Amino acid sequence: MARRFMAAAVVGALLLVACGDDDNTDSTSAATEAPAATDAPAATDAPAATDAPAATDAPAATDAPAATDAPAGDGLVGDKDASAGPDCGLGTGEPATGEPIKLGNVTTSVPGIDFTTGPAMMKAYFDCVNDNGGINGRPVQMLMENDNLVAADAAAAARKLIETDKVVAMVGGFSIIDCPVNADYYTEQGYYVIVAGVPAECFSSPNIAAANMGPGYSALGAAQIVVEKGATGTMVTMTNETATSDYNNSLAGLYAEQNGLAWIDIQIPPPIADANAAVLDAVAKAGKGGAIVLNYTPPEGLKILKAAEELGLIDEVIWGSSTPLNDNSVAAALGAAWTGKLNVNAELSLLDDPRPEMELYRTVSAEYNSEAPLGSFQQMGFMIGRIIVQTLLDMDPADLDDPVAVNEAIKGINNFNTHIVCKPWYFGGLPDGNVPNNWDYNVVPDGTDTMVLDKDCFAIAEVEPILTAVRTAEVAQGLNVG
Amino acid sequence: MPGLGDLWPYVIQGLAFGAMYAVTGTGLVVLYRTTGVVNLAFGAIGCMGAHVAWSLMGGSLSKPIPTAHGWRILAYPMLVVVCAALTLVYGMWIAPKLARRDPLVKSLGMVGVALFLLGIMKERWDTSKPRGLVLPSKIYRVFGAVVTSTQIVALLFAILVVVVVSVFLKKTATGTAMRAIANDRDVSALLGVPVRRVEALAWLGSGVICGCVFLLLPPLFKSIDQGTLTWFVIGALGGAIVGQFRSLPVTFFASLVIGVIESVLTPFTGNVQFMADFRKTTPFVISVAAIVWISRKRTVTLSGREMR
Repeated sequence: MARRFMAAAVVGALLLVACGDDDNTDSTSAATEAPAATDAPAATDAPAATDAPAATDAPAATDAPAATDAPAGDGLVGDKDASAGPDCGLGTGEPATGEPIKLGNVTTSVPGIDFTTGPAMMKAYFDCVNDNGGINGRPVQMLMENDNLVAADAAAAARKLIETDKVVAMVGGFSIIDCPVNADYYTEQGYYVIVAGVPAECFSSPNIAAANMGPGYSALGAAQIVVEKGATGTMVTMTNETATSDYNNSLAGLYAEQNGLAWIDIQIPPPIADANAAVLDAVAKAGKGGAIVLNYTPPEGLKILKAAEELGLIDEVIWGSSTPLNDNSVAAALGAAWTGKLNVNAELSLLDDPRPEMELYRTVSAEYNSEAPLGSFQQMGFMIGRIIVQTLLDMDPADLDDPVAVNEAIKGINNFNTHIVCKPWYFGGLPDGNVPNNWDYNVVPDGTDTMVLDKDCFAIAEVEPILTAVRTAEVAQGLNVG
Repeated sequence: MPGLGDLWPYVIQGLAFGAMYAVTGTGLVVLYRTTGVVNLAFGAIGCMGAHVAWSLMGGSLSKPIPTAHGWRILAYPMLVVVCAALTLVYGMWIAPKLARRDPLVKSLGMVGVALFLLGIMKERWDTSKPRGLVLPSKIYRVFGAVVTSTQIVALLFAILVVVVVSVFLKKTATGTAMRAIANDRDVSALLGVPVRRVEALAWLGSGVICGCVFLLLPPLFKSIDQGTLTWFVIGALGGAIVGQFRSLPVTFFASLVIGVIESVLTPFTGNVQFMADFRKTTPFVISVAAIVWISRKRTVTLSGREMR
């Protein structure tokens, strides 16, 4: 009897969990409510660069093309029609039934660092495309391999996808080690890879272009904002201790030093266990009036921020963060104490941006990826999905199984209009590397459950040669203009 | 190198974590002495209980750190119930099948449970999003450092557990039976000790302690992060090793010391930056040092030959 009772109790508890409030519910409702937010940049406001605070306000941004220098409509996407159209792919409403077109990606998923939400959203878009005619009748199939944050696994994953699974393109990888491990292999194989990248190699390899700008440039954008908001003395940057950690905050550090601030980088092995001690240390090092820039995924970043709140340290420094904390679940967890006090560099448009492509993102997320919340990683996955699907649709259907033809088409992507990033996206194939996404927003938590716009599109400062070379090439080749 | 005054806030943080190490170590020691099993699934079971409580409390992606109101306050006791039930189920149905295997095999059984539960949690609660559990908490200032009521409760709870368990083992019939089983399981059975029942009680007690620890750990960690909570037990082993899996008071004090050292090394910079970088190894360094110290004058038998 006792045994039966205990077994029933365990089963009952687990059933309760299964039947309890699911993660999906609120994210779905958030999606439907989102477009109405008045704080979002209005479609008509966005392209007018003159409305945006000037990048020249930031001390080191004087060399970069300032937002005020760009004539309205010359580059910023704004209300231009999305290159991928208003629907999922062909929008026929007919399911695709032919031989699948295989697309692969290598993604990192380990405790403390789980990037699978990005590819999951890309797959959701593929599912929507497949329900709407696919690529001229053929469905798109995504094959994802986990690199387990192990170089050998990353190398094996890329080879499996390309040589065994015969994927025609590598798109939508969200990995910490894929670029450094596989960049040369992709070049050997003639693959032009679209990723959401983390390490420097994702932005310094001619065969790789990222939808995002990665932790390096994103933390740099956050550093620009905290300096602009008056940080003095010392800027402390914090990130996970991984193989790419030294790169993550290096550009932000350069920017701080160019602007007369001391820079201290703190790297903590993930997952963070003693957040209180970590934040005490960081605030003490930054000093009163200094700045702390976080470079973490939401679960890790939130530990630091909640510890700062508990210890009464929010107002001791100016807080900044790279893109991953641009997530409404973060805003909800932070609550009123953080209203307007965390500056998150947003590489992508606001989650409640009312422009059509973002509306489509929210709709597809609700219908095909309802277990996931709205978030920047998901936006990146959706955007990459839009780019590759449109590229395949624009190709001769006879060439879709030919990796050479597909990768040449990817390399040729040029000035792809999307409402998800500040400027049109291109692949580039530039010899020193590609940083097609190099203008950003700044967002802050609204004290309830949403990240709201604080500063419209501004140019990421040029503190190293790659971005300078990219900007030069953009001007010379007419890239990044719509 | 930071001054002593600068280290005081870190001592506070370290005492709270050390207390959690101490309670966990106490649970591990009692179970090991009674059953011969090092419960390496202690963290995973507690983490599962925390996730169940999070869901029962109405946690969602738009409410990642829910607060309990009305009937949802039952989520807190439910956390303890889930931990106790999972531990007891293992202790009653699986552990007996491994009872005559060596301690390594028994412990690997617990690693299997930990990995199984981790798999379930990863599948059910996506690890890419923040989740946390909070307890109603107040903040005090002690010599300028912030102290939360959760940290105070953690320390008091650790003291209470160590005292109650010590008294229980010495003064009660069941405690005596547990100590007898720890000395010799077969002889205890011959003498009429209800071995299975006493072992079940030890498993249940370990589960209840686990549940109580995991009421306090998420507010201290600011998260119910699966990796952090599941492998918290590894750090807690340090205190138990220093106590030779026998002495609860030594386990308690060693755990506190480990927690404090781990925390106060955080602000070390400059020439002593390496101390901050390696602070997470504190439990292992102290464990190894303790093993070396304890073994210094003992006779070791290798392949039947006594070595001195």
